[in-house]
Amino acid sequence: MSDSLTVDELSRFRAEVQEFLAQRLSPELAERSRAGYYLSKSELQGWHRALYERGWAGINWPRSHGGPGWSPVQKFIFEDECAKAGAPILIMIALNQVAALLIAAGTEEQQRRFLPGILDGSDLWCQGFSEPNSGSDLASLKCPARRVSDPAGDDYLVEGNKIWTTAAHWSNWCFLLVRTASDGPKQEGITILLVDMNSPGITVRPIIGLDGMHSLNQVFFDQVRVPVANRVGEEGKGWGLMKLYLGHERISAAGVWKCRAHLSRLVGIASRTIRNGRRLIDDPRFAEKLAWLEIRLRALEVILQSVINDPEGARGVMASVLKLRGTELTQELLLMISEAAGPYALPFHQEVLRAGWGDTEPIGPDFAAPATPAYFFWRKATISGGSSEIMKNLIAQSLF
Amino acid sequence: MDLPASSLDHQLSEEQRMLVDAARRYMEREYSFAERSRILGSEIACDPNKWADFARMGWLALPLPADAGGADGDALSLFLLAREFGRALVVEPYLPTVVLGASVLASARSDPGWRGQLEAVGAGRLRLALACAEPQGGYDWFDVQTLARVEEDGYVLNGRKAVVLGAVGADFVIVSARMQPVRSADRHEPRSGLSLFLVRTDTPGLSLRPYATIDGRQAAELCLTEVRLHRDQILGEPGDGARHLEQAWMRGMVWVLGEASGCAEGMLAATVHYLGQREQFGQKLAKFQALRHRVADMFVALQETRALCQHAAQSLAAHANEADAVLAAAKAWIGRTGRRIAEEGVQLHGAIAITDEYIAGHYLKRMIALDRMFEDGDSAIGRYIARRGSFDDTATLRA
Repeated sequence: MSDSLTVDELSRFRAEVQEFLAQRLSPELAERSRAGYYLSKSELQGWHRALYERGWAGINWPRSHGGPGWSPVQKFIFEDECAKAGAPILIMIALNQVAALLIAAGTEEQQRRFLPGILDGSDLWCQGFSEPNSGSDLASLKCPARRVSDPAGDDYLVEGNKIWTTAAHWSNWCFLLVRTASDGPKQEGITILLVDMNSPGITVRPIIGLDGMHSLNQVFFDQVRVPVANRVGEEGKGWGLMKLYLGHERISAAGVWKCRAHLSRLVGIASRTIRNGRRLIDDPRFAEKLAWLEIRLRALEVILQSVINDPEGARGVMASVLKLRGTELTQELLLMISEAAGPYALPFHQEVLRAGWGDTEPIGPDFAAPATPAYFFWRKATISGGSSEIMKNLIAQSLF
Repeated sequence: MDLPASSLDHQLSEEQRMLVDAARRYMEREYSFAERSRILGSEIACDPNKWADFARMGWLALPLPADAGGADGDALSLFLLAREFGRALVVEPYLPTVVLGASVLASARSDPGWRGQLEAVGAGRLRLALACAEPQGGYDWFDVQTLARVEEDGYVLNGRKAVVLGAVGADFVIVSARMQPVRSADRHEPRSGLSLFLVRTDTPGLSLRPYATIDGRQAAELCLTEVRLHRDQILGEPGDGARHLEQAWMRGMVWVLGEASGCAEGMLAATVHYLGQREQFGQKLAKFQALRHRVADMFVALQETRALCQHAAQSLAAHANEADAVLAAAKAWIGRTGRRIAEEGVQLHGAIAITDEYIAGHYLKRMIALDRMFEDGDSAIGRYIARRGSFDDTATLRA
């Protein structure tokens, strides 16, 4: 790949990243993160803080807004090393999508107000997109917002609800899509608001997932006032801006680096697991499945590199290609890890998923407890962030 | 019919893009499906005017070494040219002459005359073929029973060679043989003891049984009966032939990966075009979501195919350690997903694609033929697993 840095400079950079990871990432946290245990809000924020202090939180941000100014290859190396070291995977909604949108379309005042908290991790964001009756057909969303000007301020009044909102219970800000007009085509009349989650009238209802854990929510807005100053872009023109946002979301949701980490974990597990009298990794059928997964991952890595290098690619059809295949691969890798647990896929220890086994003796192999819950949880990968079927619609649209 | 731009094209240099553009324009203008069908009707599947064009375009000298008048093109350039050849389903013997035969001559550098021979290849005046595989050996180039008996002033060859591409019309065929029969003790070292000979195709005792291949090329079975050769017809050192075959084999693989990528691309373009024209149930086929999703899957599979094949060519060009494993991965992919793309293209076209007069079926034929060259998908995945050994994940793609 073409890059302005020499091979020596790149390998020094890789060493620098490795050194940082060795110093700041505790082995205990890396081990739990790698094994698929669930991390707490404070653990995630702690890791975010460590990246921020090193100047490496907003790796995709322009240098003028506090990004490190890395080349595409440096970003790739950084993600690759983080995944291999078992660094916690942060919730990237704000760091990638919200920030990209604010930098591209926010006012200077909005950038000054919101970007620092996103970069240093002191603010956590959720995104209010889907509604009970607007899933894949996102543009049909109804959550109404009406402009009011009274002595209390120049505000939007939001009345409605959003669903499948990841981490709403942790967040203090919400990137919200509302409807401000309903007389034209459904794509028009959508407006983007930045909503303080501590505003009066917001209720968060937990939704428990197939893994028995709470990460999704339904969020109710009851006459919630949002200052007009918190609107991004023009009223009713939000959908046009979302194209930019969703391209970034798809690449992030594709999880290609996570796949590399899952694969290397699977190889480790298969080398330790005895099945039918031999190591799982020595079973020819397993070896062939593994080889195909690795080849598919390699194809995605090559595509991802080319997309990172191609500024148009992030908004184009290649983001859909990555989302479609990356999520399929994620699910198959998680299935194989669950299969490697054998009969120990059956025991369900919900209390262990966050804290680990601690001082108690683990039941089954160390990787088993979170393996099958993770498989269940990530069935969402091909459904959320634009389902696989939506990705195929988008790809077909670019062809015909 | 142009497909949407792929971000993979952004990886290419200006020079490589010019090569692609020139080849694409030439094929569109001069190598239509009708023109190809005309060439297929001729005996040796090599149109002299086309071959002269290839020389004029600089393609016949592209991978040849600079000290023999070549352009020293790397594996990536070769891949890019092959893509356009595959897209147009070219039948001329570029692979046997310029990729396989010339690689061996350039590697062995045997006097007399290697330089002049390669210059003649680049100018389009000399055609070559490489006869390695034998009827009993499947894909194994080192399972060689052809014997070279040493006599006072040279060698005498006896044996058979299988599916020799481009043999009819070639001036020389490069033949592999052993000085001694393989003993069971040598079976673990099949690469040693192999010698290569440069044989004029009109040498007494060499007989060709020619045939057309399933994808419109020309090949032959070779029978060597008391073929007498002068001692300077050996290429390189006696017994050291395997070394010269390795580069030819890897470059040949890259060529096949390029043709397969282009073939898949051509199939997708044809399918998109056809579905946009053909009407059934009162609307264009392109309006049916069931079909749109299958075309979308073809597009995704094509991007993956291109990524793996181009990456393999780049790895070989960069002399990366993992090039061998990456080539095997890409070849395995062609045997599975490349074929799947072509089969889907036929299915989505419907009955028109199972006729000989329409291009779609010929993409499938080319893809199947490419799967059976050098090693098929199953052999390739086996080789990938063996090379990859412990699935060491530190050898992931590096910048």
